[in-house]
Parts: sequence; C-alpha cells; structure tokens
Amino acid sequence: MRRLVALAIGLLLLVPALLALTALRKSTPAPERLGYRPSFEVTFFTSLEHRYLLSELLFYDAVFYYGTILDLHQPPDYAMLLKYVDTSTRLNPYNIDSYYFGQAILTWDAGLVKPMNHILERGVKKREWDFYMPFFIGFNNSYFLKDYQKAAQYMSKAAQLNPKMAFLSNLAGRFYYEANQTEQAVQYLKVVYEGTYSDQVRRGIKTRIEALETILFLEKAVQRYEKETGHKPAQLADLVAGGVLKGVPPDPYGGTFYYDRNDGRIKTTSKLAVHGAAHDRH
Amino acid sequence: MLARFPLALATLKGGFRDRLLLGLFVVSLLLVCTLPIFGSFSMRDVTAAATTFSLSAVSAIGVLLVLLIGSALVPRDIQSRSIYSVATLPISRTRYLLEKYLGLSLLLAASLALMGTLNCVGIWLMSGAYPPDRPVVWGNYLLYLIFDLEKLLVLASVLVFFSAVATSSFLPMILTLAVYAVGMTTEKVKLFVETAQGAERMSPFLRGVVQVIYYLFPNLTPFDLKVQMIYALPVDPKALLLTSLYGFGYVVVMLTLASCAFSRRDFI
Repeated sequence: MRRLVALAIGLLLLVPALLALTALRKSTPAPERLGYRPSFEVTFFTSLEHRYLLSELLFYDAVFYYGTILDLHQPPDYAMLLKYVDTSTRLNPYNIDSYYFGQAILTWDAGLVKPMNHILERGVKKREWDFYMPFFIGFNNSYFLKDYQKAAQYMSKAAQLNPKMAFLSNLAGRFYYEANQTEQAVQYLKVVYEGTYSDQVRRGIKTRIEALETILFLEKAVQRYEKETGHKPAQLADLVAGGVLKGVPPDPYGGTFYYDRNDGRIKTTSKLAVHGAAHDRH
Repeated sequence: MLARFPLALATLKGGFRDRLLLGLFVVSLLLVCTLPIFGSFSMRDVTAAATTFSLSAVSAIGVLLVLLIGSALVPRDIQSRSIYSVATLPISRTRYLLEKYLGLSLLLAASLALMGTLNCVGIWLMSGAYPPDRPVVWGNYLLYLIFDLEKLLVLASVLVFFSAVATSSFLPMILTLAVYAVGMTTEKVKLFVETAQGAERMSPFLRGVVQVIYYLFPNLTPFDLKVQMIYALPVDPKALLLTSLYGFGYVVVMLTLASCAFSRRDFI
C-alpha cells in the first residue's frame, strides 16, 4: 500500500512536470548557439579514434544552428560557421557533407569564396574520385572570382572525373569567357540540386534556380527590347510599356528586380539571399 | 579443443551466463535502428554518415567490454577467494593467467562478431536505400573488425598485466582506460612534434618525453581502419602485416610481464 502511494506521488510529480516542460521547450525554441569555437588541435588530439564521428557531429551542429537561426529570421554567424566547416574537414578531409554545406551557404550568402576554395582544395587532394570538388572550385573561380583560366582547369578536371556529365567539359570551355554567367549558374545549381538528399538544401537551391531563371528570362527580354527599339531600356517598366513583357515577375527572395544601366545587368534588391548576399553578382 | 583449456572455457561460459551476448544483441539492434536517423541529417552521403556513426559505436562498445569484463576477471577470483581453489589445481599461475586472457579474447571475438554481423545488415540496408558515392567494400569491413579486435586484444593484455599487480578491479580499469587514451593519441602527438611547428612550440625535453611514451605505450592508431571502410579506400597490405605483427608482439610482451608479476604475487 505504501509503495502504491509512493508510486502515485512520484507519477503525480513526474507526468505533469514532464508535459509542462515539453510544452515550455516547444514554445520557446532558443536559437542553437555556436558558442564553442572548435579548435582543430584540441578536437584532433582529444577525439581518440572518433575523429570521423566528431567531424560529422561538428557538421550537424553547424546545420542545426543554421536551420534554427533562419527560422528565427536572424543573421547567422558566418565566421563561426566557416570555423566549423574548416575544423570538420581537417578532422576528416573526406567529409563531403561539410564541403557541400560550406559551398552551398558560405560562398553565396557570406561571400567567403576564397577561404572556401582553400578548404575545398583539401577535398580535391583526398576525394580524388569526386568530381564535385573541382566542380565547386571551378564554379567559384568563374562566377565569383572571375578567374576564368583557373575555372577552366578545374572544370576540365571535373569533366574527366565524371565523363557522364558531358556539359562539364562544355562549361570548361565557356568559362574562358564571362558571357552567359547566369546560365552557367543555373546549370551549376541544377548539378548541386541533384547531388543532395537534404530537403532543406534542395528547397534553398530551388528558390535560387527560380530566381536566376527569372533573371535569365529578363536578360533575354532586355535583348529583345534593344533589338526592337535600338536602344537600352531605362528601367524594367519600359519592357512592359514596350509590350515585350506583360509584367515584371516577382523575386522569390522577396526583393524587386531592376535593370542596372551601368553594366546592363538585371539585379535584385534581395541580392538573392534571405539576409542579403555579401558576394553575389546579381 | 576448448576442453583442454578449462579456465578459458569457464570465462567464456561466465560471459554467456551473464547474458552478455543477449545484451549486446539488443544494443546492436538499437544501433542499427538509429542508423537511418543519424544518416538522415547528411546532405550528400547518407550511408557514409551512418557508417561513421556505427563503426564508432562498435569500437566504443568494444573498449567498454574490455574494461568492464576484463577488469573483474582476476580481481574477482582473488576477492571471492576462488583463486585458492584454483591454486590447488595442477596448473601454473602463468597458465591460469593465459587461460583467463584466452577466455576474455574469445568473449571479445564473439561479441564483435555479433555486433559486426548486425551492423553489416544495417549498413547493407542503408547502402541499398542511399547508394554511397563509392560502393561499400565488404573486405574493408572485415578488416576493420579484425583489426578492431586486435586492438581490443592489445588493450586486454594491458588490463591483464595491471590486474596481475593490482589488488582491486578499479585500478586496472582506470589505468587501462588511460593507456587506451594515450595509445589512440601518441602517434598524432609524435607526428606533430616532429613537424617544424611542433619543434618550435615544444622544448627538446618534452619532445623526448613524447618519443619515450610513443615507444613505451601501445600505438593503437594503425589498428583503426574506419576511414578505409567508410570511404572504400585502398588498404596497404604491408602496413596491415606490420600492424598485426606489432599487436601480436605487444600482447606477448604484456602477458609475459603479467606472468612474471603474477608468479611473484602473494595472495595471503
């Protein structure tokens, strides 16, 4: 009888407290903080035989943090994310997840192209079979850094590693020229889209492809306008007034597309990023 | 065959009696069930992420088994005074120690075989659902299990040595854990101090200490073939041969030292 009473008291304390605690944790999701700045030396020497697992866990930390912070519409700490990607790939230079994440987020959104290329070189050396490594560096060199010769070298290497993707060698040739950058970016993003299992990343890439395809569409509309009228438009509204377009399509990132007469390119106020890209051509 | 080694057989049966394999079966099943969950966070190579997790878990459980089963092996006989009845048998103390080690080794091999088989099924299912970048090389998986077992056998020999000199089961366990930590780190530290950066940051005395530790303690890093399994990397047969010889040699030395210490030990 006493035991039953004790059990009942215990359950009376435990069950309501657990339910209330669960509700509390759910209603106030604190952003995952990347408070710990991982030191490679410390993690390397203390990981014993679990450096590969630790590398994966660091990547998971970074992804969870990034996902949570985006949901809260707060700007991510990109410098810390770079540190996580760097340490993770030093612990396990084969860890494709970290390279993939860094390339998907840190180059486009944070403009950390050169540090990311440096990290990707690690992957080129170790993942000798993986065309994604030279493919990423090649794209970064062309699209962001405008070093077309280097881009072509890496794209050739990527094409050699993956002969099934014939367009890579095609891209390698085209990277010598600056022309058609938007189309290159769309093709690049389609390859990246096919290569991931992550729905979150796929959603992000899909939005970017949609935005870039819209830019491509508008660029072609501008060319048609120029052909028909013999002069450049002052703004995108001229294309609508001239009957070339029915209306200016919306930017999936929430910004507004505009025509920059200085360089003749279509740009957007969102800079193709949720928090405004630091290093985007558009 | 095992009937010729009654103490080894008794140690093995003791493990079965304690339902060790049943416990490991349940743990391994849970591990296999968590593989898709762990792998699902991966962006690109789900199978590699899941394999990383499962191999680390198998290795960690293996070390726990050595520490928990091995540390009680000899001290329990002394504390329960069953060592006195063993002492009356016509077998030497060295044989007693070696049979205990053999029993522990068989138990570890059976445990690893069980966990390895269940994990193999888990990885096979994962690789079917999420084809990895490079096909899984099952030969590498077998090599990983064999060399992980050899690593555990080296640790077990160290544990038997400490058990031969210590009076409680706690001390050998803690000391073996320390040897495991040093053994998994010593090669990394040695390679670091031999670089220009390491030479700059460490005094010649400390560099000397690192060298002494490297040659004195077991270097367990070469037994770790996880990365070769996860990413289907080629293995170096020469390195494998040298590693197995090194491990075997270390076990022989530790058991010989344990035998010397145990023979001189006074139980009264």
